[in-house]
Amino acid sequence: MSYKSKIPILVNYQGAHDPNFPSFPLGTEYSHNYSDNKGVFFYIYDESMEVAVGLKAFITDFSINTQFEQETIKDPGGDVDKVKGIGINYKIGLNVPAISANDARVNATRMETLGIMLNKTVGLGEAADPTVEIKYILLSNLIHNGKYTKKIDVKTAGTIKKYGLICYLNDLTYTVETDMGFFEYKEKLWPKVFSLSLDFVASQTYPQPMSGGIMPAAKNLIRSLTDGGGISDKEAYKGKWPFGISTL
Amino acid sequence: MNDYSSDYTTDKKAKIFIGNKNKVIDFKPFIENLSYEKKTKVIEFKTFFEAIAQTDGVNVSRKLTFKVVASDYDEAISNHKKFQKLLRMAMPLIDAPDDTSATLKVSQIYIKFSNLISNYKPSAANSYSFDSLQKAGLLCSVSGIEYKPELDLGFFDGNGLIFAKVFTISLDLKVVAPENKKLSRKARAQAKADGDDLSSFTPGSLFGFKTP
Repeated sequence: MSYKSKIPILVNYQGAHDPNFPSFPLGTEYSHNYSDNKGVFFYIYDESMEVAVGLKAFITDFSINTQFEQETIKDPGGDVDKVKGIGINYKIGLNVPAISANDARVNATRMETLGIMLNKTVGLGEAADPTVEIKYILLSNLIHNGKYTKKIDVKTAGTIKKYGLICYLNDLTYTVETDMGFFEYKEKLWPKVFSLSLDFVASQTYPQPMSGGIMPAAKNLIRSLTDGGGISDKEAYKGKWPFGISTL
Repeated sequence: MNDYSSDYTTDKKAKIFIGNKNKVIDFKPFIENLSYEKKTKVIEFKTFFEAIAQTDGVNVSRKLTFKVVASDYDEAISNHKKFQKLLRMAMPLIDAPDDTSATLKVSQIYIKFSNLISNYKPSAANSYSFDSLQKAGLLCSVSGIEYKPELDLGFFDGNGLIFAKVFTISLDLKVVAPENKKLSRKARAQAKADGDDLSSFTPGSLFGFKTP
């Protein structure tokens, strides 16, 4: 077992006591306990790196934007509007504060790790693979795959995979909040607060949720997120995405 | 939950009604933005003698942004459920679900908001069935929907789930088969000569104030 899987420091580490890792206590801090009680951590998991990053949900911005790209097919019987593509874009902004120099050091590495997640995958001595890899993102019932219907205790990456939204990262920006200052430690500066913004788009290559042939990508997305909906009037309102409550 | 905004909205018959796939949802009219857009693409067609400007049509759209406000946890759940329904109303329809070559058909919704968005019949009511909304509402296809919570106002939480107290919905709508009242001068003269009724070609049906 790797060091990271033994102590998922980028998820659980904070300057507070963590009951899962009693040998790692470095002070106490209420916001972690509050987030833990409410189950409102922001998690992002990269399968290729086998690393998850967890952040307390100091949300500064959030939106879900659904776009239906249309095209008109010219037809002698009358023009027909078709949907060429569907884009479900999430945007989130978070503040990432540190309560101690150690916390600040881990936060800096969290930011770096998020940056690495956006890179192309490289093999040893091989050219970078241009394929964009999926990520799993989970934030309570605000960002999930339609299965988060009650508080879930996230202890392993498997839980993030089970409930997280499968998506691609588009943009990542983290800014040092210079007004808040820095911790100084061993001739290095560690920002006390980062502000982070992430744009990501729900993957259209969701695993096929229904039996049958291989369906074009957009249909998989609709079916996955709406629990098979979008097919008929009767079934259209199935599913619990995006907020985890039954639509029916 | 009933509050003053419910009474006011009922009194003014000003709810926003949206319907599709045999369901109707309604929202209180906490309007942030409402705009009417018409866009046309003009192409200059040059002949030996002259250049003629031509167009292949006019795209008519509406943009509607409104806030959805909850006064308690139950209303917040109800509001989010409505948004989930709205998303499903806008989701494209899959032609022939078992056919791998099936395409995605644009989903069309009916929307009615007092005399400001209607099917050119600006009457108002306090409730609509899906059938009656089909007659009164404006038929549109949805090109975009945005959900944005008001983070400063916070969330209600319960059972391990959180729901924004207030959120904003932005809708980009493309009007299907918009009304055209532009009669050519020749046709107008002909109709007058024939004694035809031209009242359906006078402005006033969009908002409900008929001009003579």
